[in-house]
Amino acid sequence: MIGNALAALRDQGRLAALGLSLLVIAYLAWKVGQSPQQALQFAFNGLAVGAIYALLAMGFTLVYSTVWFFDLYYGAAATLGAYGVFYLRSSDALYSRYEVANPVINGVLAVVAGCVVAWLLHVGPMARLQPKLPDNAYRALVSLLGIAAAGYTLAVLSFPEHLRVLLAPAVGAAAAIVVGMFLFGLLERLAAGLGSGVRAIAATLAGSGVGAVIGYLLAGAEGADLYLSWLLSCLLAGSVGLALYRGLYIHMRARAKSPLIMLVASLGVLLSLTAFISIAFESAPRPLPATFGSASITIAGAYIKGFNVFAIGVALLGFAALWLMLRKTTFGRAVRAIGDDEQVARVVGINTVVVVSIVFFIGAVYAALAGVLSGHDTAIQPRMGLLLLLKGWIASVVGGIGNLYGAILGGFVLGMVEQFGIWDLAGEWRDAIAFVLLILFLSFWPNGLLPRK
Amino acid sequence: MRKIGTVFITVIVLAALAAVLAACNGDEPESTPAPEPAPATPAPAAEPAPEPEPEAPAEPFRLGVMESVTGAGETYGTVAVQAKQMAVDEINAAGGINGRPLELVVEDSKCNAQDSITAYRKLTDVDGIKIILGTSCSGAMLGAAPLAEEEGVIMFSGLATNPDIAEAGDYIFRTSLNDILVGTDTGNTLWADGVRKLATITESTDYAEGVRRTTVEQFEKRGGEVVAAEQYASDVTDFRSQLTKLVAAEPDAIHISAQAEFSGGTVVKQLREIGYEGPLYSEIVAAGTTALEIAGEAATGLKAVFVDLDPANAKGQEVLGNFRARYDYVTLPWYLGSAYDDVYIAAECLKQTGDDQDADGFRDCMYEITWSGAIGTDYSFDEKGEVVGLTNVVVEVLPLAERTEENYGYRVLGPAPTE
Repeated sequence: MIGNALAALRDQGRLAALGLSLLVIAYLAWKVGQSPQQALQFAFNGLAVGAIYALLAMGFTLVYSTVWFFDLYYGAAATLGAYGVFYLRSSDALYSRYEVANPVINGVLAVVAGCVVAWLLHVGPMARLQPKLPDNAYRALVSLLGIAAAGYTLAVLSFPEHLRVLLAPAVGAAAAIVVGMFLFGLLERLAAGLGSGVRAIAATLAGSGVGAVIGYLLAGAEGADLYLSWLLSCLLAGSVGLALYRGLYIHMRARAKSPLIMLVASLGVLLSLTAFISIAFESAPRPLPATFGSASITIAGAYIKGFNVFAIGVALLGFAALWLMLRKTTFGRAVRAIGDDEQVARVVGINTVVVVSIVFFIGAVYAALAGVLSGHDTAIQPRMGLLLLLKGWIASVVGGIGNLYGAILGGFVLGMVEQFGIWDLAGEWRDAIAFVLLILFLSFWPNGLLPRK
Repeated sequence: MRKIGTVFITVIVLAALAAVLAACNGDEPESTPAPEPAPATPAPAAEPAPEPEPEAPAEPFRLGVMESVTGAGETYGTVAVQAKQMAVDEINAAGGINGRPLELVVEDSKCNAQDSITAYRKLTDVDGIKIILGTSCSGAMLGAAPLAEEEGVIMFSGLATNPDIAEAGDYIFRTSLNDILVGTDTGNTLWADGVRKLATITESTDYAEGVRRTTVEQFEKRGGEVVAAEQYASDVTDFRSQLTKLVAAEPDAIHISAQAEFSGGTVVKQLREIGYEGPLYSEIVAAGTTALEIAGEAATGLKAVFVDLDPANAKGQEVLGNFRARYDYVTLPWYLGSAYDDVYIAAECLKQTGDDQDADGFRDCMYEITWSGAIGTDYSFDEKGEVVGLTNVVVEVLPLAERTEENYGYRVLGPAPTE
C-alpha cells in the first residue's frame, strides 16, 4: 500500500523533475539565442573542465564497478599526481622559489615503488621461474630486483633536475621491450620458417636498437623534463594506489561486513594524505610551470587555451585506451567478470587479487592524470583532491555508474551544466549547481543517462 | 617484595614522565618558527644605540618606539626601526635638537593588541616616556591607542592603515594612509582614465571587500556605473566562468581586488586567456612579486593604486639611497620613508616645545605643522590626526622583459588624481 503510494509519488516527482529540467533547458536555449557569443565561451569553458571531469569519471567508474566500494583514495591520487609534478619541477621551474626536496618523502615513495615492482614481478613475469628455483634463491632474486627498483626511484626523486638523463635508460628499456615483443610476434606470423632462436635474437637486437635511440634522444631533449615528470608522477600515484589495495584494503575487505567500513578507511587515507601534503607544501594554492599550450586560440570569437584542447584529446585517448582494455583483452574480461560477481570470478580461476590491484593502479593513474591536467589548467592546492573526487563521482553518477560511455558523457555534461548554470547566478554557485545535479540524478534517475547493462 | 617492585616501577615511570614533560617544556622556545628570511638583515637590536655625542653631554630627548620587531609584522617593524634609527643618527650628527641629542627607546609591540599594551606600559611606566612613535600594525595600534588617549601620551604611527584609527583620539596621529584612501584614489584614477563602465571581481575577505566598496563608492560618486560584479572564495582556482560573465558585460575596465597574490595573479592570467584585452586595475596585491610571476606577460599594462614613493620626489630617493648604503637592502620603500619622516616631524616639534614630557605642546605642534619629506611635500594633519596632502601613486606593470628585482616589475606613473 505504502510502497505503491511511494512509487506513485516517485513517478510524479520524476515527471516534475523532468518538466523542471526541460523548462531550465528551454530558458537556457533562449539565453543562448540572445547572446550566442557568450554561450560559445561558456561551452568552451565547459569542454575545458569537462575533459578533466570525464577522465576522473572514467577512472572512478572503473574502480567502483569492480570492487563496489567508494574509494576516497581516488581523490588523494589526483592531489598526489599534481603535487608530484610540482615536487619534481620546483627545482628549476617556478623560479626555484619553492625548495621542497625532502629525503623522507623520497624514501617513502622509493620503498612503495620497490615493493610494487617486486610484487608485480612476483605475480607476473617471474611466476614461471618460481618452481624452477630453490625457494630462498627465488625470494632473494625478487627482493634484489625490488631493492634495485627502489634505489632507482630514490635516485630519480633525489635529483629531479637531471630527470631526463636519469629516466632515459628506463624509458629506453621500456621501449626496447615493447618493440622487441611486437617484432617477435610479427616475425612469428610473417617468417614462420625461421627458428625461434633466430627470431628472438633478431627481435632483441632490433628492440634494443630502437630503445637505445629513444633513450639517447630523450636524454638530449630539452624541455622533456616536464612531461617526464607527468609520467613519473602518475606512475607513483598509481603505485601508491596499488600498494594501498594490496597492503591495506584487501585485508579489510576480507573482514568488513559492509562497504561503509571501506569508505571510512579510505576517508582516513584521504584525510591523512591531504594533511601530509599541506604540511609538506603549505596549504596555499601554487602554480605549476607553463606548458606548450599556455597560449589561447580563438574559434568563432570565443577563446580556449591550447592546453585545454590537449586535455580534451587526453580524455578521448584515455577513453579509447580504457575501452580497448576492457573490451578487447583477457584482462578486461576478467575485470568485468569480477565486477559482476567477484566470488564466481574467483571460482572460475581468475586471480582476483592481481586483477583488482591492477585496476586500482589504473584508476589511480587516471586520477593523477586528471590532477596534473587540472593543476596545469588552473593551480594546485592540497584540498583539490576532495573537490576533484566529488566532481568525478557526480560525473559518473550522471553518466551511469559502471558505464564507460556514461563516464565520458557525464564528465562533459557536468562541465557544461556547471558553466551554463551560473549564467544568471553568481559564480560562487558553481559547485552548488553540481550538487543539485547530483541530487536530481540520485533521486529521479539513479541509473544515470546511460545505465550499466 | 612484589609490592615494592610495583612501587619502584611506578616511581620510575613517573620520573621518566616528568623528565619527558620537562624536556618538552624546555624545547618549546626552540620550536617556535624561525624568523622569516625575507629581508636578510641583522635584527634591529644588533644596531648600536646612538652614541651620545662626546662634545654634547646634554640630557637627550627620549622618544619611545613601538614596532613589530618580531613575529608576523617583522618585515614592517624591522624596516621601520632601522629607518627611524637612521633619521636619529642623522639628526644627532647634525648637532641634535637645540644642542641636545635624540634617543630612541625601542619596544617590541609585535603585531597584536596584547603585546602592544605590554610594550606601552613598559615605555610609559618604566621609562617615563610621553611621546611614542609607532606602531607597525593596525591591531597593535588599536590596542594601545585608547590607553594613550586616556593618559595623554602621543602615539604617532607611520605604518598602521586601519580606518578605525582615525577615530582613536586627540593624541593619536599617523602619516600612514587610511585604507579608505586606496579606494578613493582608485575610483578617481578610473574616472580620470576615461572609464565609465566598470566590472569588478573581488575575493570574499574583509580587506578585499573594503577596497572594492570604497573604490565603487568613489567611482559612482563621480558618475561611473558598475555593470558586473563577481566574488570568489579564497580557495577557488578556476575563475573562467565568472570572468566570462564580466567580459560579456562589455566594461571599459575590470577592477581586481584580491587578498592573496596567488588569486590576484591567476585572475589576471585567466582574464587574458579568455580573450579580454581591455585595461585592468587593482590594488597592491595583484601587482605583488608572486602575482606578477603567476600572471607573466598577461599582467603587462595592469595599473595598480597603492602607496609608493613618487620618483619625482628627490628627498625620497635620497633617503632610499642612504638606507641602502647603510643596511645593504631596501624593502617597503614607502613605509620606510614614512617611518623616517615621523622622526623628523617629532624632532621639529621637540625643537618648538623643548620638552619631551610635554605631550600637550607636542600635540598642538602636530596640528599646526606642515612638512615636506621623503613621502611627500607640504603635508599636514587634520583634526583627527590623519595625514592630509598625500595620495597613493598609480603604477603600471612593465612588459615581462623589462621587469627586474630593482623595479619590482612596475613603474610609478605618479600620484593618483584627486579631482
